[in-house]
Amino acid sequence: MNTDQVPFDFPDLVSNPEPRCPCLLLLDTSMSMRGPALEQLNDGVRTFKDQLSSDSMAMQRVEVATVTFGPVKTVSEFQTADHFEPVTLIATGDTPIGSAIMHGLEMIDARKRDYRAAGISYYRPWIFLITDGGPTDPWQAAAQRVHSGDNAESKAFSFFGVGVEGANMEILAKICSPSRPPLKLSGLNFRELFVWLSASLKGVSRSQVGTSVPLPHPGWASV
Amino acid sequence: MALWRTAYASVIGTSHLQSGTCCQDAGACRVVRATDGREVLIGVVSDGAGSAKRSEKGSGLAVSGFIEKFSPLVECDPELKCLHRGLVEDWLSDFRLQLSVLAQEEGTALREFACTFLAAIAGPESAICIQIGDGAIVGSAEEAGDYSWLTWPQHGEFANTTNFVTDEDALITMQFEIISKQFNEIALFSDGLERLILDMQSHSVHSPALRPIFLWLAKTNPAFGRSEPEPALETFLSSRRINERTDDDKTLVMGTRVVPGQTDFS
Repeated sequence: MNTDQVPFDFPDLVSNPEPRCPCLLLLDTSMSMRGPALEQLNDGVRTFKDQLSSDSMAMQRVEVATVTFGPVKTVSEFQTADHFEPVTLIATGDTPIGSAIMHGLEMIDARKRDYRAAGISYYRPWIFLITDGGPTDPWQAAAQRVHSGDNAESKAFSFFGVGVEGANMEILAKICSPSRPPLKLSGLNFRELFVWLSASLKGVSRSQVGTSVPLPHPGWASV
Repeated sequence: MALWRTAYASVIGTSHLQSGTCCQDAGACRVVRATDGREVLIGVVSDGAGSAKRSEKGSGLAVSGFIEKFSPLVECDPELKCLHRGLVEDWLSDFRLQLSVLAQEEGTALREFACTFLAAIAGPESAICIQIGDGAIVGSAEEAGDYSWLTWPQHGEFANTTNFVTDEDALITMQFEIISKQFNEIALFSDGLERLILDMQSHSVHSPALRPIFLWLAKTNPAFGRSEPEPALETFLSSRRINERTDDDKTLVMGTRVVPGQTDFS
C-alpha cells in the first residue's frame, strides 16, 4: 500500500544516469617507495574503496582511475567506486611525474568527452598526485597545464599534490597551482589521507547547484 | 471559452531539512483576465542558491515582483504584442537594483541573494518564456499529454554550476523566447525536479512524468482569482518516492487550458 496519497496516478518518473565525479589517482611507485611506504599506500587505496562504498550516493557517482609511475601506466580506467578494485602496487622504475600528469590530463579530457556523448553531467574532476621524490623527466609543460586548468578563472579540474617524506616539495610547489599549494603527508599516514579524500568526494558528489563545498580539515598533513 | 486550471507548490528538500536551512525555492502563478475577456497565464519559479545566505528572499521577491509587474501589462495586451525582450531586461535591471539596495541595507553582498529565474506567459495566441539558470519550462501545444521543452536547464560545464539573476552578466544569459503557438498545457519546475522529468540522454521531456498530474488538473475548478499553493502538489512533492530521488528543494507550477473535446489523452 502506498503512503503517497495523491489525487492522481503516481507519475512515471524518468531515470537518468547519476552525475559523475571523476577522481584520478597519480601514484608514485618508484623504487624509493618500496617497503612500508608502498604497503601503507596500498592499504590507503583499499580504505578509499571501502569508504566510498559505504556511501550509496558516492558509490554511484564517484569514478576512480589509477595511474602509477614510473613507468607511466594506467592501472585502472575510470569506473564507479562500486566497480573499482584496487590492485596491489609494486615498486618499479623512476619518477616521471611530468609525463604521468600529461597522461592523466588526457584521461580526464577523454572521460569528459565520454560523459558529454552519453548525456551524463559531471562535477569538476579531482587529480590527486602522491610522490616521495622529484620528477626524473621534464615537468615544466605539465606544470603549465596544471596552472592553466586549476585557477580562479579556468576550473577544468582540481589538482592536489601530496609529498611523502623525501619528496622534493620545492618542485612540487611549482607543479601545483599557486592557489592550491602541495601538502606534506605526516609520516606514512596514507590511511587518514584517503579517508579525507573519500569524505571530500562524498561532499562534492552530493553538492547541489550553487553550493560551495567546504573540504574537511586535512588532518593527515604536517604543518 | 477555454479557462485555465492551475496549481503550484514549493517544497523543502530533505537535505535542507537536515541542515536546518529553509526552502529557498519560490513559485507562483496567476491567471489574468484581459480586458477583452480572454485569459493569460503567468507562471514563475525561482530557486535560491544554496551557498547564498539570503537567497530565499531573492527568489521570493523575483516571483512576486515579476507577477506584479507583468499582470497589468498582459491585462490590456493578451496577444503579448508589446512584450519584447527590452521590457523584461528593464524589469530585471530594476529587480537587481532592488536587491542591491536591500543588500546595502543589510550590510551584505548582492550575491547573497543569488537565485535562478523562470517565467512563462501564455496567452491565447502565443507564449513567452524567460529563463536565467537551471530548471525548465515544458508544454504542449497541439497534442495534449505530449510535452516538449520550451527552455532547457542552463548548466555550466559542471553539474553543480549555473547562472543567477545576481550574476554580472545576467542580462546576457537571460533567455527570452517568443513562441507563436497556443499552449494548452505548460509546466515550470526548479532543478530539484529536472532529473525526474527530463530525459538528459535523449534531451527530451519524459511526458509520463507529468501526464497524470495534468489529467487530474484538467478536472479541477478554473483558477481565476485563486493564488494559494495546491495541497495535492505539496503532497506529491514531499512524497517518499520523490524524496528518494532528490534531496533538493523542488517547485512545480502548472497550468492547463481546457479545450472542449481535447481533454481525453489517457
